Amino acid sequence: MSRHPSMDVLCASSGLKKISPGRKFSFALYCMVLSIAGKNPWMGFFLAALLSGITLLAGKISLGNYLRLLSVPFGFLIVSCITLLIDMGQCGLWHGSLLGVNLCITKTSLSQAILVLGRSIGALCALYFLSLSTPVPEIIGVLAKLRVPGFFTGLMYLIYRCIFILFSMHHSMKTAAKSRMGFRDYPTSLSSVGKIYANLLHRSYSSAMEMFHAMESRCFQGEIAFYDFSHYSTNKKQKILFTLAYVFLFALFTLFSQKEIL
Amino acid sequence: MNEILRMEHICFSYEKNHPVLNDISLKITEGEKIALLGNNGAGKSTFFLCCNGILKPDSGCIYLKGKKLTQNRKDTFSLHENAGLIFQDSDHQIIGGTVETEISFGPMNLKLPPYEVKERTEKAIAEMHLENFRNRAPQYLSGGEKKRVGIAGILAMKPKLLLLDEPSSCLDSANAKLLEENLEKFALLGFPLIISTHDVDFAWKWAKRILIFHQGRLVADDSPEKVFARKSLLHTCGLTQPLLYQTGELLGLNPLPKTIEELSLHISSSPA
Repeated sequence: MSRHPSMDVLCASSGLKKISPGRKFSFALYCMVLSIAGKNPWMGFFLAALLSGITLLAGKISLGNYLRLLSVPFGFLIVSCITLLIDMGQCGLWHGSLLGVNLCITKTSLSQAILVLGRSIGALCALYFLSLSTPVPEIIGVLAKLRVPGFFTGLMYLIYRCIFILFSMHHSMKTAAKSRMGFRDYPTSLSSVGKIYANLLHRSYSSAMEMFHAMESRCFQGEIAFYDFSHYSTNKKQKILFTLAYVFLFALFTLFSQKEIL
Repeated sequence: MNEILRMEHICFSYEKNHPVLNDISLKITEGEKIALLGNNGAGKSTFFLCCNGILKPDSGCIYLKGKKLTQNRKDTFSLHENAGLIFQDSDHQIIGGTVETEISFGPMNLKLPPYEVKERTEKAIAEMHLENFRNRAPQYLSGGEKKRVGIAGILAMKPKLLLLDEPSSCLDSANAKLLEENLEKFALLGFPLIISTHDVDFAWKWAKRILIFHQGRLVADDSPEKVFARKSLLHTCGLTQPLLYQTGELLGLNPLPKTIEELSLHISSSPA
């Protein structure tokens, strides 16, 4: 297993886990909409800072873990923004040549790249705020309350549960292969990885059958349903805080919308 | 004793001409403690799946509390509800996001009113001492804890019979002991229990009745004393006599000791 805690483990120890999942879900969604709908990137940057602050300080997630988790999508984001930033031609704020191709950065491409960066990073931090404070089954529970068809929520529950079973299977297979020098050089590693994944596919099929039998044995009738054991208090202080945050962010959104990007 | 489940001439095969269960007939009554022995592939797990209604026998009849069951949906559900099956690998049984939601899965499927689902779940949590784990995600529980969650999930359905498929496999000695204590508690409550196991010492100590499956046939159905006296049958089925049985026989003890405590009592009370 990895030495770093997974998102699921961090979420289970979050300082925000006692807040109602519905409230966190709607707040994250609201922030995402404001970030994406904004015509100015500063709204996204502000939301990213605010939500990261909440996740780190109130959620008690360590900065190292947060940056580690953020690094993968952030890497993709930077690559996407670079492609938006660079245009072909010889005019603009900067121009140069690479392998005989003339490249430049124009004011339009720069503002477009910054806008995409701001929007994406705001939405990304909103998603991480939700993922690092609300366990997946609770998010699925919120979706079920929002009348998302039972077929999809049921499938989500099963996929989420199977991920851990598959991880554990993969871990034991990999360890067994390692113990028999299955990763001693590149060709052996390739062959071992192929065998592990083929075996994993076979095992996941038989596991799925067993899981279905276990569900059937408890009178499963086609729709996965659990009792809603909500342990969240409807705290008045919390309600006021969330309402103020909604109003403040909307005011900020209106203010930023009136300003130029650069 | 009241009859709970009766099977008459049950046959089942996954493929044609390869019967996995061949002419199985038996009766299970209230409060019985039954150990099911047999090699791998003897048909134990398939037998449990038939008892629970997951697999439908090719021929033969199943009676639940004296009522002959057909293969319609209602009767199959009645078997699911009344013959609680605890699977060998708890990971395949658990699907809920937390322990308490997992336990509520069965009662929710029974379409019970919400207050009853909650009441049954709370009771099962208390019975299996899972109060401290109720909000935990199943993937972070130990093997023993997962097993207890699996049992609680079945208890919440209030079955009339418990079928446990190799329950002590993958359990450490502390958890295996805890499981034994729970089994004893269920037996005292009047639950008939059938446990599939490879552990002949456990079967000798715990069971009041032994069933042996061999190549899909029920080849022995008797008290532990009578079954374990049949050496040639045990040899054919790849089984051995329990250690305490052999020790008792060597020392010429009567009755044969079921536990170490009984053995030491025999030895200490016998003349030097």
